[in-house]
Amino acid sequence: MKNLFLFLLCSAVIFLQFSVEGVFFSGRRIPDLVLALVITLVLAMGFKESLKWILFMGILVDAGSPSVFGTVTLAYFLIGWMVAGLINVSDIRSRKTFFLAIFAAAVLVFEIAKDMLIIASLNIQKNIFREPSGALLDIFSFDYLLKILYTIIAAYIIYYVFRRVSRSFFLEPVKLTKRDY
Amino acid sequence: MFFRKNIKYLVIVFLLLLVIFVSLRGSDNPAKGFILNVSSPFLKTFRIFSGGVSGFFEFMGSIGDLKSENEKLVGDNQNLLAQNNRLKDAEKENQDLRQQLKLAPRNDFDLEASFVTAQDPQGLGSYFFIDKGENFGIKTGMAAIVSNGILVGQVTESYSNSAKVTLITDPSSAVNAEAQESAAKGIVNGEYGLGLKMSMISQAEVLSEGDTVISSGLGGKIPRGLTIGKISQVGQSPDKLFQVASVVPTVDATDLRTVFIIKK
Repeated sequence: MKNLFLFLLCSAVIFLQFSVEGVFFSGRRIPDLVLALVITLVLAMGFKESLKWILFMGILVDAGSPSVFGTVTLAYFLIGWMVAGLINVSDIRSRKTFFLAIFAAAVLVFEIAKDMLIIASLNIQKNIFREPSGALLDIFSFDYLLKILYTIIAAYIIYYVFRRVSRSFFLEPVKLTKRDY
Repeated sequence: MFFRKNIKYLVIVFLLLLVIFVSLRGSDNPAKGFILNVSSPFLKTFRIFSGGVSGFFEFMGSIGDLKSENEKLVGDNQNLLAQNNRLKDAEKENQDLRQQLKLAPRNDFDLEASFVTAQDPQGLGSYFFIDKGENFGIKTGMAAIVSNGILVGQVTESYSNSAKVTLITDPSSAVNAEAQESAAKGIVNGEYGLGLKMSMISQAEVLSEGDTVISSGLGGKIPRGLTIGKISQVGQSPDKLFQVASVVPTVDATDLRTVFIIKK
């Protein structure tokens, strides 16, 4: 039941990311729902438990991205690992306001880091292997600011919806321990 | 201690780096084609459904503007009727002249209508996926247009039931073009989705703002005469050897629902 729910959730987010969001948002403002879900999964279930779903979503996003195949999967994997590390050093869920601020900051930092990794891989491909590639990352543009803002809002929504729904589906709440990471 | 504790994760990182290294060389990735082929029907369904929902909200939001828009459309319709009559005369004259000059009529394109199923999920590149591929005769290099001969991109990857169309605004895109009014030739490149730049224009040519840029047909991949955009600014290349012009694309390619692929 849990796996079926997670499979459907991950698939739905992937389809929203690829197909639906483009209808409602202009190209460079599309929020990264997958990143939001990756962070949510690690916060709610731990890195070990979320690993297969992070890899599943990463590979699917890689298939349709301008990036070099594997880059997005690696980025999501590292982000998941770092979020788990963050939980390990501090219980960020202890106070609500603190959690909201840290959550938004994590989305902001990891989104920029992920996009920079993608651009770096494309530049390596272009300059070293002379393969044609093209993508733009302007983190100071208005479009990018909106993209980050939408992603943070989406992350809040996904996290709270996931927590509420998972209580019904998973029967028992998952408790994180240091061993999870 | 760290390595021993995290050996499983480090192996995954190593494997992913290996995949990236192999992919960096631009080799075809069968996994990519397989995933796109399997997901294409689902992507199409989601897109159609969301298009309907988006259209409904747009309609609800536009109710207040309907009256003024209707008046404008009536005026436009009258103008178009008059223009249509003039064009019918011109068409007749054109046919007569072609017959007299023994020119063949312009070839009709063999078009394949395709539905846009997905866009770049990261918002970093300039491309979209369509619901048809090699099974429908779509091959890499073919031009993608919208209804009335406006060039939007070129097929850059083709799978059995899906294909990737890279927009002309992508920096990796290069189209041989010419200005319709002056016949000045050049190359149109994308500027990271922000617009187009026409470069390699001879200094001897005279370009003006507002000139229409069309595909020149040189190179053979993209047919001649497809509209690309209008010149907004003319300048010099950094080495002053050529002229360069900023071109505003005719359509906003980020909001497309259907495109036509020119097969022949």
